[in-house]
Amino acid sequence: MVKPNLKVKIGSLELKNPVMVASGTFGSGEEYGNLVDLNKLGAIVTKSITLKPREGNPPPRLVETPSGILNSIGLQNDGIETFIKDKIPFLNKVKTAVIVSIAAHSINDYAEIAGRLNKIKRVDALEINISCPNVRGGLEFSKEPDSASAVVAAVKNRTSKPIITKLSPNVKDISEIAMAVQEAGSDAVSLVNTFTGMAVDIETKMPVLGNVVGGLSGPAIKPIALHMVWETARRVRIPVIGIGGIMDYRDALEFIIAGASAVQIGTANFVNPKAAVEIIAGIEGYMRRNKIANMKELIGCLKT
Amino acid sequence: MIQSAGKVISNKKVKPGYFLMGIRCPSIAKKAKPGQFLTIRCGSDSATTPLLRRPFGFHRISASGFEILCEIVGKGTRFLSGLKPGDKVDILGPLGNGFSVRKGDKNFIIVAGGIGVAPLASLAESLTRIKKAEVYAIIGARTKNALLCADHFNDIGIKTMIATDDGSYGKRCFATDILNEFLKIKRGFRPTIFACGPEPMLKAITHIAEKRGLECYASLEENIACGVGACLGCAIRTRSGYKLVCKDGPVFDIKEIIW
Repeated sequence: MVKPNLKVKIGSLELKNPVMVASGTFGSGEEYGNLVDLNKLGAIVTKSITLKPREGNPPPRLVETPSGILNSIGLQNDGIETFIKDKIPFLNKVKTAVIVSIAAHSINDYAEIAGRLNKIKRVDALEINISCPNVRGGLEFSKEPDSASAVVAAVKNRTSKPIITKLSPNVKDISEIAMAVQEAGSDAVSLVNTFTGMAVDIETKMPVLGNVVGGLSGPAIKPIALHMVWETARRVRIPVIGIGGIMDYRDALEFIIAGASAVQIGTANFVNPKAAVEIIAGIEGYMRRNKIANMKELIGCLKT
Repeated sequence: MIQSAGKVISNKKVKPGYFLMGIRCPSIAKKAKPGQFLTIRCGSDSATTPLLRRPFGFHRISASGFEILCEIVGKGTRFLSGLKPGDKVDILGPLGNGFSVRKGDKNFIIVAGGIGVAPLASLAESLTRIKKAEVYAIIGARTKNALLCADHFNDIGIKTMIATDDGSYGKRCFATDILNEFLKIKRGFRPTIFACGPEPMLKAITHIAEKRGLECYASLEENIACGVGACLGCAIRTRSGYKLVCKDGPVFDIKEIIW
């Protein structure tokens, strides 16, 4: 049979395949440049950037829990200007979509970052991180439909690029938030960010993480994330990007069958830097075996 | 850095709870320097616990492979301790920056605590190859049964002093007590100190090095996720802000560390 067509569309952005690397797990791609053929990825979602540099949270920032990781990095980054100066030149050489994750404490700052990135040709889309559980205020925008849509509207006003809004699972009804950001003009939603969690050292009786609480990712969250993606995909018209503990192509296909138009790989990159590339090959192999010519046939094909 | 399949060529218990594994992996061995580290996937392809790769310093390095010296502390190291010659392991390395020796420097002292001796053996070997170098080592352990590498250090011609917490071998004191005494007796000897071990030991060494104005470099440990500077999970506090153990270290100028 002919080569299966893995292309998917996220708003006006066409990806060569549905597999992206998730924000915060892949730096700006350069860190993994020696290990992974970046050109094979559907997209690179870069580490969240803020308007001003942020030093991040006190250590320890990371601990492994059963089938997962708790992290409290706290949006450490060098700020938008350094990102543009230092990271864009490398990304210019990469032949895949670049989605820049942006984070802020105020609606004005979100808008300001979006405005500055709008001039950068290399940036193919923005992912609005309204859901970082590790900084004060980071979660607030994702908690209520009104505040979430206010951020999206402000960003939309300053950019002509496609917008993806990354949603927090730490809410009463994630699909409500997805509906709200859709109405505000978001071109897609990505879900889920990490679940708020913690770990305690019973010897010192202290929290393991310097920030006390952190975000849980990895296979431990996959069934919950999958359920949220399914619920959301049934309610919104815009593409849903599935995230949460995807370790191999079978996990990725579960999300796609449940309604995700694309997926992001996060924690798995740490376990195997080539995870995303292997997942792309795995999906293609599955499509060949099952004589599926086009990704579109798979997205949301869940039989219930 | 390279991700490559290594082949276990030997795996033996060296002391109760400690094992030494020889791995054939020429591509990574050729690039590895003392003080750098590697990560190993500790489980089958589909295992989700342990999840993250585990970091180990290169213990000894040859052209075709290397050794890692490990203490069994959890699921990851227990898995590795059970591997047999011929088994394949998924290795990522070499990672981080190794020890650097200043040009013309001839006087060195290595201070190791417990399993902290692991990344210092390859350094020790390289120091003995410096012409007219004077190299000493102090190895500390809880007890004789947990004392590692002392014979090896002596074999390669390094004058090695031993401290155990219970006095079952060498002197009954801490490695840092020996260091203090040694520097007091051997007046005029101004060595560069290379250290790896538990935090209280490194803190004490920081104090000694500062008091005597000696150069001191220590290899630090943190939980590591990516190992390549992408996730920013292994940050430590330094006088110039947070630094990453995986990318900026694991070897740091000890004066830079804020304990």
